[in-house]
Amino acid sequence: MSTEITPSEQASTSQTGISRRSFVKGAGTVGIVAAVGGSALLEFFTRDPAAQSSELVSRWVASTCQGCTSWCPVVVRVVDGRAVHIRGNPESLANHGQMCPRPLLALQQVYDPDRIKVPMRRTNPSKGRDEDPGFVPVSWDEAMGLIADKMMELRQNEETHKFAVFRGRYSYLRDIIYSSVPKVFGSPNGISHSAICAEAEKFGAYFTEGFWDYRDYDLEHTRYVLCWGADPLSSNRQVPHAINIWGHVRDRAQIAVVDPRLSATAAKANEWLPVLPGEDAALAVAMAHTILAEGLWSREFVGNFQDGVNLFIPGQTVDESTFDEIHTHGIVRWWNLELKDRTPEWAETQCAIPAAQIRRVAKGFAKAAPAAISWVSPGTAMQARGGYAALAAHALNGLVGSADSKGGTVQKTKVPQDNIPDFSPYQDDLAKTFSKKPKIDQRGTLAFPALNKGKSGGGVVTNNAADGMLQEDPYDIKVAIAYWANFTFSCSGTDRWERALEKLPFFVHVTTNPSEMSHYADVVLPAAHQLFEKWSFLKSKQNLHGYASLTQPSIEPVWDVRQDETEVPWLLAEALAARGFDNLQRYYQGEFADPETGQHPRDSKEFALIATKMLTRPCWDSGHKDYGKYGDALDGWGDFVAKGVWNSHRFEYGKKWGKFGTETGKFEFYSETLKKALQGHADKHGVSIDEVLAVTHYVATGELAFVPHFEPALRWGDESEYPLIFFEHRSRLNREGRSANCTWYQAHKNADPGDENWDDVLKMNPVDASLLDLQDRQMVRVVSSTGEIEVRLKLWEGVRPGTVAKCYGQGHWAYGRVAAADFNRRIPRGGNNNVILPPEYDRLSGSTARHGGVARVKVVRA
Amino acid sequence: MPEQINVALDPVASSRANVFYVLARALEPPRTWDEDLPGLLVSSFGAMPEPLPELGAKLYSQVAEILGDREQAAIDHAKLFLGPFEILVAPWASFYLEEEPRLMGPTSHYAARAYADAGLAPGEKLKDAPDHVTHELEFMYFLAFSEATTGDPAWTDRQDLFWQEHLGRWLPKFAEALAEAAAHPFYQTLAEMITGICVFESDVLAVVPPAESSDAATPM
Amino acid sequence: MAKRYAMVIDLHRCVGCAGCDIACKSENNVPESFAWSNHVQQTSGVFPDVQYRYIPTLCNHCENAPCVTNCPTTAMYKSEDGLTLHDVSKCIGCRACQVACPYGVIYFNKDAPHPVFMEDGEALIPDCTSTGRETAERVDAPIPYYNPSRAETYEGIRPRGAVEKCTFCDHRLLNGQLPACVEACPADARIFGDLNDPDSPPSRALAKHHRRVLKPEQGTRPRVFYIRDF
Repeated sequence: MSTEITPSEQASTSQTGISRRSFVKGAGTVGIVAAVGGSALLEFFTRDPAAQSSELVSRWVASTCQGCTSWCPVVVRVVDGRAVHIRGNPESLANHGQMCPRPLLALQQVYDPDRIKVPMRRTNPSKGRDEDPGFVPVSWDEAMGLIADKMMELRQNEETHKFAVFRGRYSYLRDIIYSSVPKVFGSPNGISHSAICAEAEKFGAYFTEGFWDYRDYDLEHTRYVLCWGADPLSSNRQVPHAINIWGHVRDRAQIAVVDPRLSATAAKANEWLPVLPGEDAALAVAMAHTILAEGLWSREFVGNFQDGVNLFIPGQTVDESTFDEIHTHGIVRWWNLELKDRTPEWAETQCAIPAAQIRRVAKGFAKAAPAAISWVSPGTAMQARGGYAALAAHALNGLVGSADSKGGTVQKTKVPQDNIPDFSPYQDDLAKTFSKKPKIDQRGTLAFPALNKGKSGGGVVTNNAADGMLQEDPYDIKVAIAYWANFTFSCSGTDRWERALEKLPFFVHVTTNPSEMSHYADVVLPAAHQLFEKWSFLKSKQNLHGYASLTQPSIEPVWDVRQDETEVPWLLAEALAARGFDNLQRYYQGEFADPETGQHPRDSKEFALIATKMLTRPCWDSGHKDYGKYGDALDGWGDFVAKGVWNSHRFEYGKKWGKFGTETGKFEFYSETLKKALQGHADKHGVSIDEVLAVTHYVATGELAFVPHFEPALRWGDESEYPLIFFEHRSRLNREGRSANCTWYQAHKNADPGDENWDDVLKMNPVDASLLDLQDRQMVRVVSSTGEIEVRLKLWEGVRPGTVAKCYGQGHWAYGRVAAADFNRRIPRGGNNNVILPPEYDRLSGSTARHGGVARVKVVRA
Repeated sequence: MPEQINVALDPVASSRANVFYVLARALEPPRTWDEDLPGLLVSSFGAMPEPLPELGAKLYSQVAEILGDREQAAIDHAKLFLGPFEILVAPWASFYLEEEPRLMGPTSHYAARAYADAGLAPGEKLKDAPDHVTHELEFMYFLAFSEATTGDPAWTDRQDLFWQEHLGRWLPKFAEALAEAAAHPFYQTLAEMITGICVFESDVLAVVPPAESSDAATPM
Repeated sequence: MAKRYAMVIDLHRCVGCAGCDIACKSENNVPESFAWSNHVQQTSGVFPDVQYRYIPTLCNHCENAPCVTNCPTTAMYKSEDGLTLHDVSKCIGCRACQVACPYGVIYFNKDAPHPVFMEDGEALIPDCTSTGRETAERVDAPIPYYNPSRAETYEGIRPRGAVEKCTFCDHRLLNGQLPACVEACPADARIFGDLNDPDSPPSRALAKHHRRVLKPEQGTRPRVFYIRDF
């Protein structure tokens, strides 16, 4: 009885280019209008046989928000194939089903009116901000062919090291594009964004307790929270957990916030310490001084004088042999080298915080210990010379014994994962040799120690890659791919990146939006949105639980996009193979296989899925050696996909005491670990440590280099010409620098204290405005020694006289119709702080000094 | 690629489904028309008696012309059905079936109930009252489509009821009003077409026995 | 028995993140320039003795609602559960409710809503980047993240010429769910329920803490209460 029905010629395409309607025909009979798929094609109705409400026909799909680096597990509500709402993932113990406002903004990102739909090719060979790139659409095949041709030229000329991959934000599938692509191809240049992020913060924890990572915080049990630039109610880290528990914290704990701006967290604190930007270290060492002078250190953790009498008398040196130290190293040396003269009165002259407040906070913190948290964030660390500020502020946790204690700061639980398969068998001689060349960011050179985990050149110096390219030192870069990055916007000294990219002969940008970096690209590849269109996973921690959170497609990709970290390298490998270099393709096809079926990937989409399954195997595969060992034992891949998150066991306190990852195994106030690292770097260059410190712009000499100590703020610009100290901060709505094209961001921007909706204001104390004869709401030019921006002035009491503040994230001259005031004429909405911030560093960690008031400015009427 | 439907298609029901579908689309603002509307117009009327195929061919060329420049037809459409000051041809059943017409009154509710009984919920684009002419025509399409693809006589019953109790009682008047008010040749032809369909429908559906027996399918 | 729905906002728990505002926009298809869920914020004092205050606001669902008494067409009405609701089909756009409301929580669609997605725009890079309209058509929805559930009890998107306002998410209440702002609040600062039930969370919160309402002198008897301090 059944008749075969075939689509007739009338199968049609709607205006949007999507085939929506078909005209099916029974053999020998008339055809009938139907939807693709064969059901009735309804405009006004939906099929609802059970007459159910539409709530019941939606589904929730688990994924991960990467709007900040809290990396929260979330769930996406999908109706009719569209993402319509987002909630925190109730399966997650870390954020316990909560989320901050950021994930919702992602809805406006994936459906951004200005997303790139198809690959684009540049037609104007001249590059520059004022040049129209003349982009035209091309197919993926053609785009990948253009890239592979250029890369093959490098191989033919035996200069594969002149290829680079620039990585901005990433997932844990990053190694596929970031490591295997350059290294199998033959380049050392995987350049990550980490040094514009928070490496100096890790510096503090590493050279005291041997932990190169962000800490977790036991907010539930704490009695004192001392935030160093940290604003957890609005930005990194663990925002939803902090928001949710803050009422409880305020009920039982004192909260003190060190921040030159009245931040969201400062607004909900007991004490606000509006430190002079860049002088945080003075405050930290004065607090340490107070804790010792007042006898408030932890006897249990640090130890005590043999006769029990406190010999830490201000101004007086102490004999080391009189003190029996337990779990720490160098308390007396720290006192003698640095702390004995660092009184609160001295600090007041440096950092402008009243001595009485310093004492009050230091004593309150120490008395609450060990249930006390000294929370170091980029605000205090990502300053010129900020590594030492991070060291000093984190050392307070050692002084009071709150490191690894209930109610204190803790490290992390293990979140097991597998790594990408070994690619070295696929590296040919050229690749093996050339991938060992020095990198373009000049890491490990005398001036850039970048002591990641204590290794000279172990870390990246992201922002300096522009100078490496401009100086052709150590060589020139000829072909580069950047993904999920926008260094011409996000790195201070933006003009250097603009020039470096003008000079770069062939540049590929993988991005969702036409951004500042795309403007210099020869080929632009449209990227899948991480939250809705991509397979990957993330690892993070909040609330004393580590977790692996899955990122999975919840909708069909809106446009002709590919997943940046998996599909793009797969397609690139195909194009290279077609041109005679098949090593990468053989590696991807041969070494990656579905852990359940053993099937090797046949296309880019399968590759993305299989890679995700492989690397997360310990979370869900009962056959894995680590399965169920560190936390949840998920019931197979399907269970992981459904739940979206693997939770670790809860962190156990106190296991690190006596076993810290330092040279001595102790919490080091006198850092043998840092001493060794500095010595290693000095030896490598045949100089003394003092010479290293001088070249890298620190003022300390001698033994002082090995203890947390005060370094004066380093600022660009002469005070007489540039009287005000400029500093920046983050927004609670920033999805890193990618929110500005979202109308919901603009419409609610005043949720950041002091800020205004639909604007990007410079916040100035009314006292300064009166001196400068400036009015509230007028347009002003903010001029530093390296650049200038034009923004609206906002008079606000939440900033210290003598300083001005502005939020990061706006001032895009590209990115979209909302983000830019005029995209085609490249006129920004607001001002990009990185135009006026100079390319300064905390060189020991390699970090870009975006905080600490590194730029002096003048503010004049526009 | 469309999936295959492994059922026999009743040619009459198929044709009628197409006709209702095309009419619903044609009564929407020309701005929203898909480019393939002319194609559907030619393909849909072939199995119908004259004068419908002839009118279909005429509509084909008129629609094709409008797709080249939608402006004037869009203005005429707005004048006829949208206002802003005066609506020349009311597109709602209530206007024709109620003594003191009001939206969301019993006539609207009759339509809404009929949709629900047939297993349809309001879709995202259903912005107007349930008894809007485009909704009712699309509903008829759905019923005829279901009849054609399932062969289940319940769908025929539903069409009969809806036509006799509701749509068939006012669609001819609507076509009359449209013929009178339409300035644009396309809407004149459309009015003729709707009149033709009404005649045809009454013939087709008249052979179906009265449905008083079928309480379950009767909208209350 | 009819319910007496109410919301209690615990300012001690609120951190001023605006999560409520944005969740509301998403749930109710609210145009970008409106804010059914909104806030007022204020910085007072002189540096360094500065205080910042943030108060979330929304329709108070007043027991004595001036918007209802001033509506000439009964478009604005009280439901039997005490919600202040709005019937677009009766709304003549006279804006009397807007004038009468002392809280500024009623919005008027002077222009067509969601112009970015509904009106034609030019692509920034022709043939390469999309437009709002194209994106909406691509996913076959009036706005790409359109929530159809909203249309169960109110116009999914309110048309030009009509006012619109918070409904306490009456469409969600019907399905046994909390209002979107309550569910979204990461601080658990919003407490919602039935005041006729003495054990409901808002009843308990009001029994425990001193309550305040906005502009009590207006005699509106709001159903949104505030407890503790920001």
